Amino acid sequence: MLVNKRLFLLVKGSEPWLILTIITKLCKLAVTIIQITVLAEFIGKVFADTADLPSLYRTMIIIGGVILVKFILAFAESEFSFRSSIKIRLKLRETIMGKLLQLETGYLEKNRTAPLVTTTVEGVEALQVYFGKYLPQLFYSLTAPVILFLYLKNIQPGSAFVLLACVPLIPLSIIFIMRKAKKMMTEFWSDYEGLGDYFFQSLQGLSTLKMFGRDKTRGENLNKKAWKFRKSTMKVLGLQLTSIGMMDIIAYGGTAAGIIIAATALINGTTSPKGAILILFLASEFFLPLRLLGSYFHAGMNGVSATEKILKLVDEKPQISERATLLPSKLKDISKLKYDMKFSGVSFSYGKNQILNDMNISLEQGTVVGLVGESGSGKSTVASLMCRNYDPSFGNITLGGVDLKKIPLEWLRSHLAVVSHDSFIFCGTIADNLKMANEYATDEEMFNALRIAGLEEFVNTLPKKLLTDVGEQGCKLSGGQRQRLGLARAILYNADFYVFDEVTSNVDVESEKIIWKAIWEIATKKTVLIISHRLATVEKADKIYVMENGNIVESGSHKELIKLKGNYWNTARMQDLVVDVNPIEDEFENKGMNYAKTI
Amino acid sequence: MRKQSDIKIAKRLLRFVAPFTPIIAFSVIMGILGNLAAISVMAGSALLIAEVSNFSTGYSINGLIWFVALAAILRGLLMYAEQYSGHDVAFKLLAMIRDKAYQALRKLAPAKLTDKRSGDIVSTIMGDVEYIEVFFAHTIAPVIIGFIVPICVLCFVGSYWIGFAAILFVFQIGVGFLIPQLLKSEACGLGMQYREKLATTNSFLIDTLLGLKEIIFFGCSKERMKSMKIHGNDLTNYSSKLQRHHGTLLAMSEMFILSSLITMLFFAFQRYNSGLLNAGELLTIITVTASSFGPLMALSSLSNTLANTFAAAERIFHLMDEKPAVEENFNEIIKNIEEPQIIQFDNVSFNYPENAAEVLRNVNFSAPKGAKIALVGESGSGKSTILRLLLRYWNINTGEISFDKCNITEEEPQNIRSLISIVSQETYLFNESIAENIKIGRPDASDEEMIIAAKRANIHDFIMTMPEQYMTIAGEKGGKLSAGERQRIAIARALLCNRPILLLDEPTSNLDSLNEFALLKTLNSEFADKTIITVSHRPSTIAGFDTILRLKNGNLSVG
Repeated sequence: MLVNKRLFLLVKGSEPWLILTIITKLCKLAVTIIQITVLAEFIGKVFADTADLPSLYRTMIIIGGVILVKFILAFAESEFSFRSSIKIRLKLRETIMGKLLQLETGYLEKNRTAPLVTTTVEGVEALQVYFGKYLPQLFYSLTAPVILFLYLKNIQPGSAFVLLACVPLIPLSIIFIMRKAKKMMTEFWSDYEGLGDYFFQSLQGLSTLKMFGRDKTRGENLNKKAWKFRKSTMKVLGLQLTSIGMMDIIAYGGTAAGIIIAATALINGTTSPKGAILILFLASEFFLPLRLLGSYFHAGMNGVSATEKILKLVDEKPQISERATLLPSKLKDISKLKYDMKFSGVSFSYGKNQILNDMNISLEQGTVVGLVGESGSGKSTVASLMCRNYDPSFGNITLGGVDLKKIPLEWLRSHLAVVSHDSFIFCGTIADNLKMANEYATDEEMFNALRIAGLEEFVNTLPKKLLTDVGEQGCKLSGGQRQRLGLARAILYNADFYVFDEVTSNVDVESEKIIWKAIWEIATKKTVLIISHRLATVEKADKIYVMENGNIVESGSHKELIKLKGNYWNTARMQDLVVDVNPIEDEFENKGMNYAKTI
Repeated sequence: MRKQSDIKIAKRLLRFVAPFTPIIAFSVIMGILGNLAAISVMAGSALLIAEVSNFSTGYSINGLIWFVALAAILRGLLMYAEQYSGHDVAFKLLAMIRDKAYQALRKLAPAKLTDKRSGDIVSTIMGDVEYIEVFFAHTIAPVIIGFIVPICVLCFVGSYWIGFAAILFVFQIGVGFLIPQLLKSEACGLGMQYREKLATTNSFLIDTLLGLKEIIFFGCSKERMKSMKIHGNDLTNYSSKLQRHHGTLLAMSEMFILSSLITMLFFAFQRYNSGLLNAGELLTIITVTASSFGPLMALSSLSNTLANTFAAAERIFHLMDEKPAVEENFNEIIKNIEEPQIIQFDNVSFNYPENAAEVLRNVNFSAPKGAKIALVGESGSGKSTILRLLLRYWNINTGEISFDKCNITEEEPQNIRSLISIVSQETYLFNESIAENIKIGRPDASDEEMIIAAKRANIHDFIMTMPEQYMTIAGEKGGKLSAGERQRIAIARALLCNRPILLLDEPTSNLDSLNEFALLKTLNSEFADKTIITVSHRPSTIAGFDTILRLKNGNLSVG
């Protein structure tokens, strides 16, 4: 019945509010019974022609009191119902967020971002109705008819029995129909998501579709899908509406039956007019709670499906396990040591694909190491392993002689900075983005980092300087500016170990120049690993490793590698032919080209 | 804030529904009858009790019993009919609005749908479409029902004494109009604030997820959690206000209904005392009063959602009204125009509508069939704009771009585009199989042709390593493929299409030297007979081109 046991465990701490909500509802029922009894009594008197003005006033005063009490109870109910889900919603949001942070990038690679967000924000909001409204109403609709029955059974037993007997017919009929609809529903939901997705993609890829002259056909397909979906929707809806119709027939039919029995009893003289009138006014109250429950049913379903998704997420296992066994005091010892990083016999496979093969490399403190190779040779995986996005399948990685797995992740990452080709810029100001790396950075420190990254001038031209808003995902900056801001942020982080992973593969020439200048400035003080497919960028490195298909095939300095006349030399030769170390201007100027002529 | 008036928007929205008027009318009639049936159950029951208590009502006991039973059953059937027909229209409309939105965007694409803006537009539309559907399914009928049913009830009680109708009318106005109106401004504001907060929280989360790597590395998880808490608390705050508002609305409505009951009771008793009303009639009037507020309550909760619906509708209308950069006639079938022997730019000047600064100034060049032209220049120099003009994203201000002697401004954009393949920095992949993605330009191509294209584009071997080879589904935005791999898919698309002109926009910026070399080789060998115009800043890429044109501040020169 739409109650998830595990979700129920999460409710802990909210029970008082849930119970209070239910109690308020029951109080309201009690007050309603009083109100209707008083009213029925008075009209009964009218029927017996014994009513007078004082009894009318008495009735009016009591009902006036009932109005006030109900008014207060309505507020209380709304408040309690809301409070019952505050905690759980906050808690769930945090649990999910914490989980995502723990699962890290691996999970995101597998799962699409948009549905994840829907799950978290909207799914959690859907729980407000589930906890605040659906659950209390569920308990209430189970108890209210019984209370009404107990009250009415002495006054008009026949009607009371019939009314109570009709109540369970409603959930029974719903269950019966829903069971039939269940298979249809699953199909329906996947159809629904499929259509939404198709629509979304059609809009997103519209430019591409248009380029290939496919926009018209796509539109037609979209329409076809939409109409097909409409048909399947109507089928499901037909069933759902049948259950609603059944519910109405049972509720109104039951009410009518109860009243007709009361009327018959009145004819037979087994009940008083007051009793019959009481039934007339209270009969529908038997069914109201269930009908209201029905109106929360949809929201309740949403809550449940959201819960299922959330629980699935919470159950997800992280890619790596944090088994830091090193005590903080020991960590200081590593700091005192040189933190050379060593890969010993490291292999890594992702799914069926063997990506790294028995790798042995060492990165000595204070040196600049280059890692080159074609795309797909496994270079970036090395960076992922260094910062423990993944753990190696075989072999181990040590830092200062200590196994990486024994070092707390937080410590490791506070000493290591990775800059990739797509530095992510967060919504907010330039300062917000920089302060991610160092909360307490002063303006001076920030400007210093910006200077190294070649952004100081640009930021100074902005009216709001550091407080300039960069837009969602930094959309108000150019690609090169974003990357340089990312670099400035990394500089401000002041890590001991820097990894630059294809940092300039996505930027304009001017930015490329500035970024490499900045990297070599960093390299004078820090340990640096440069991952690149362009040899020119690592030419000055102390040591260069050449990768091919997950293997280190050569290593040494640029000169040594050239002398080897192997893989590196080959690539260097080819890149010399087509090399683009220098930005275009230099190249043209070197060749003494004249491009002033206009056609 | 809102530019169009609510009435204008409502009128335009209603125009959508016009074709469905008969079904909606049916739905409304069923709804009215259904509500009246519900009230009839109670009214008939009251009359029955009066009749058996020997207060003559003018009806027979048996007749009343049948009436009550019939009304109870009819109520269920009528509601079914109302809901079914109402939803039928709503879902038809949903499909229709989706189509309209698609067609509107189709007109605007690609010129007005570039870059980041597209993402925003698309996600707004998705939400807005759903919003409008709710309006159609759950607004029109309840509004009409909420007007007619109370009038019927007034007629009924008025038939006993016109004063009853007058009193009940006052309370009906209170529940259906006064209370919602009183709380309306507050509701709109709160609802808006809540939704805005929800949107900010959404963006915050997306931001967090996309930047997860950075957050983890910079150790900002705790700060992010803190912000999440703040967002969560804010959200709770707003929704608590909203909830309180709903609570007030409900409590006040309930108060009004009960007050109407005792007021009616008071006056009914006065008339009873004066002998103008018998006890049975008193019971009937009180019963009908008590059970008549349902449709009005439904009406009062509507005003909350209406503001959002109008805002959503306005956004969609705004999109539909936006002028496309280039007028296109979608009804015309794509004509196969002949492959041009020469493409010419004659004194072409251009500026983007939102920016007065000229991007291109008197640009002249010509590309004979088979020419290999490279456009170079700093970012922002207008290189890519030349490609966009060729593709007829925009109309030029002055000058002429011609294919042979034919001015392309006079040609349908789709005809021009059918001659051109494009490979750009970003390749959009649909979340469909790799095969479908490659075949997008020519869905009728055979698998053999596709594989040949993939081989020529140097992507076949990679595809064969994927779990389901060509049937592998590309992830969100091609998430499972690297930028370089996506680009090679684009090349395969172009090869499969076999169009005479190939435009390349920074084609090698995401490729390493080996792949760049391979791509250039592909261009040389596979596109030898095609006209190629490329934009690139890498000398290695443009090295093999016959003509190098350099753009500086919108002026073109030969390099």
